[in-house]
Amino acid sequence: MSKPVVFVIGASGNVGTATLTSLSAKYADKVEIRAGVRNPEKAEKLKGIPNVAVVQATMGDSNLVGVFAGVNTLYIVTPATGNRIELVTKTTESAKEAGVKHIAVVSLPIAGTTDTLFGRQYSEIEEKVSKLGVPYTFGPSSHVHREFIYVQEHHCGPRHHVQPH
Amino acid sequence: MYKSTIAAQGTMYNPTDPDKPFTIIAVEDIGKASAAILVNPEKYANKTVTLVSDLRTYNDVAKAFSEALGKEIKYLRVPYEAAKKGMMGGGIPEWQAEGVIELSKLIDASSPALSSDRDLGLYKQITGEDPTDLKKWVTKYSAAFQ
Repeated sequence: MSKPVVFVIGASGNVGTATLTSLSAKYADKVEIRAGVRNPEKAEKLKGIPNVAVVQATMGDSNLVGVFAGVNTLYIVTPATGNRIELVTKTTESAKEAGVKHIAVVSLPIAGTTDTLFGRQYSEIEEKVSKLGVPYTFGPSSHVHREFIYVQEHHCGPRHHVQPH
Repeated sequence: MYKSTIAAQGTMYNPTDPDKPFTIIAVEDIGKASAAILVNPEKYANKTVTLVSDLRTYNDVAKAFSEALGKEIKYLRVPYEAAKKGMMGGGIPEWQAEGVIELSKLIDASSPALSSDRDLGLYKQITGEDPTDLKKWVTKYSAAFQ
């Protein structure tokens, strides 16, 4: 029996890379690992991780149903862009159509609250995903590490690698 | 993280109240926990997992850096407007800068969503390992801040 396929989309950032590193180090014998990035040519770091297949995948694209064929578990690393609700929702719909059995979505602890912008965005994402009819997991979420870097890097000093929300 | 100003000036800048605790998580811990969840998804079906590596204040952070680097690292609290302008000057869209400021204000207001210790044991439950606490993280990366 072949191993279940785990697919990480939005793989090229810190969370994606850390997840793929762990999957490769501990679970390569249990699962087949795929990393979806917008630009495979630029994904040198990911290509260096053993047992990870890097494929082209853009969130929200209409071809994702084909890209997700055979995938058991999908991990969506929610992007920092303003249209994240639309991108994540479309991606989950493609996953459902492709028969993905489980969808995990990176969220924030303030999802479920509506007194902040990010809270409202993540609340909407969580609400839509939870109504999809596919088993889901939100998290692991804890934004503050990313905010940490973000505020500092953009308040003072020269720009380093952007780690946005 | 904070590389530029810590190395150059021995100072950290942020608009958050330095006495307010907030939850932090190391990126490696996110990776390990994510992997553990992804290979065992049935266990976490229809659940929200909120992970915490440590619960700290910015004063704690400045102190940890000071100890690891062997020199005094100061925390300087800057006004919210200045922080927002700084972010936008760095190319961040206004809506996103405001969003980040909102999070800072939640920490200042001791919002339980961002400063509760309820989830501290969860990381170990999921991965079987201890999370990377602040001191471990700072020690591990201190070479980059010299």
